[in-house]
Amino acid sequence: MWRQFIKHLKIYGLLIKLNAIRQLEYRVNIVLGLLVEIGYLGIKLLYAYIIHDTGVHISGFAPQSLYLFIGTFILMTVFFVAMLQFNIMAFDRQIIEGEFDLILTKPVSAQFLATLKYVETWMVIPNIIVGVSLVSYGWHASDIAFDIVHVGLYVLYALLGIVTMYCIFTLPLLLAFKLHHISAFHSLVWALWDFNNLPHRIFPSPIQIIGTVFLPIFLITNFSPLAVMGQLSIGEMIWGGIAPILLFFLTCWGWKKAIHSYESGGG
Amino acid sequence: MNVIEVEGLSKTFKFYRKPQGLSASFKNLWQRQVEYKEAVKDVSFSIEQGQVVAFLGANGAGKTTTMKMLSGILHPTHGKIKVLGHTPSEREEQFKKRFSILMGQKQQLWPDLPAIDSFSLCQRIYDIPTPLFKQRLARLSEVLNVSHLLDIQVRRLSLGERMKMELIAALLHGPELLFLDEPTIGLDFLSQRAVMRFLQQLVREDNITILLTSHNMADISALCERVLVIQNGQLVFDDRITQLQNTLGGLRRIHIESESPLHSEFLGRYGKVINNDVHCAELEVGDDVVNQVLQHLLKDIAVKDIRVSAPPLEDSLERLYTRRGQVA
Repeated sequence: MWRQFIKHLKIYGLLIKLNAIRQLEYRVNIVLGLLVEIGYLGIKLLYAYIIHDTGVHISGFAPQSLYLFIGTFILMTVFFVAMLQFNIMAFDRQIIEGEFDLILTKPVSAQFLATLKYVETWMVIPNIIVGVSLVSYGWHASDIAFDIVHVGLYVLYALLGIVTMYCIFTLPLLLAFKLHHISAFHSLVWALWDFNNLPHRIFPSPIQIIGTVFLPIFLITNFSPLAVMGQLSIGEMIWGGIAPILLFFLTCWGWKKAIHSYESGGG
Repeated sequence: MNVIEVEGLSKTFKFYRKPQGLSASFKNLWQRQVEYKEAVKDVSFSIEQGQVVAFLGANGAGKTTTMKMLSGILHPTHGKIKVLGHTPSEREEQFKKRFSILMGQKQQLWPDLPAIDSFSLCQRIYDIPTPLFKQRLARLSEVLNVSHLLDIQVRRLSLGERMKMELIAALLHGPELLFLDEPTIGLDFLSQRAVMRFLQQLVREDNITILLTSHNMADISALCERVLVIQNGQLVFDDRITQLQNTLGGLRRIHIESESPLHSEFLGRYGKVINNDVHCAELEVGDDVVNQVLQHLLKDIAVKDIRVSAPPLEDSLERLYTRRGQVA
């Protein structure tokens, strides 16, 4: 199990490198993409600045602590864009055109190759810089101790958030094995993703419960800042640890079921 | 030792029929006309180690479906399969490391990267030790004459060069069994020959087992000793190539070159005239009367050259399909 994990980790490292090389072949595309990303970031920062400048407390959170949430959201967007976005977009094509056939014959997890093959590298750099800066500022401005416990807690919930993100956006992809075309799902992905823009505490409690328990979208970006701010209850902390693992097993189980009935395409 | 053992293999696909037009599409939203197609029906055969077997059949006959079941891509509806001692549908890692599948219409190399980068990914995926990887890559790229192309983006290579690279990617881990699904499709004559020559060398030197589907009879004749013919999902022939040509009507072709002009009317008395180019003609006759016809021809015509051959494989297959009610 551990050997397999290390093998897949090494392959993922190589995939990141190969994707970076592939994207460098198209220089103009990288420059334009970076400019667009910087533009988007500018809008996000302006929006963060306005919230900060008004000095209004939102759901009990001071304006400066909101930077911690926005920074975490931007960092998680990095993982979403880098790890998932292009794989989600290419997934049904792989099934329809029979590209998935070859993936199934490789001696590695087909789920791993089919859902993580494409990695966006260079275009996420501005998001990384701004995300880290905002988290650092929010952390400092919120007077959170910068020690191993708090940093460890933040990193742990961030990692669990990444697992949750992977599962929530991979599970619906399995429908492609049955329905083939799932392009309508892509807009749903973005709509769901934007729910994470601000702390989930601003939503009415039924939505908070749905987004934490039934479709745990709020676990992705909210739990790591809330954990270091001491705003998570014991129940929430436990759920934040269990839910991603349950979701991961559910995703792997669903994957096995889905590929069992794979009927191949493209002749 | 059998590398492949197949018994009572069947595969049924579900599909929808949609009549023409928009109204039918609307109707299709809530009510679909479900139908089932038996792509493969009760197929049984076995292949020994080191054999090169052609898997032939018209489009939609069930060749690719069978190959996909043998490689674990598809689960069979019924039947048993053992490939290299494994059950393919279990998709075990150890099994996947022992075979390779190459589909002429699908590529595994990354088009935007030089082939060498995709090969490094193969190395990692198949856990190939670096010295062995380098040795195999050097040998394969040399034999296929593509060493100078390894650092060029795959999408900038010609179709033939790309196929050679795909072959290298499929062989880097040293598979014992190779499934080739139309490996020379779309290739020009020279590239086809280069690929076939390479496969012949591979069989000779590495004792690899190959199951090959192709519509190119030159590929088949050059490489395969045994033929499986599948039609409408059923195995209709399993024997040596020569046997296919012999059993289907037992026909022979007589090629005649004459000093004097040849007349089709005259030749037609002895058999079917395939072509007549005044001084050269080709005559198809029954196997049992070849000697008799030869004697007559040698007596009646000023023969410059004469020889007898089996009919082309395409013709034998056409007869096989036609006899069973389906034209290829």
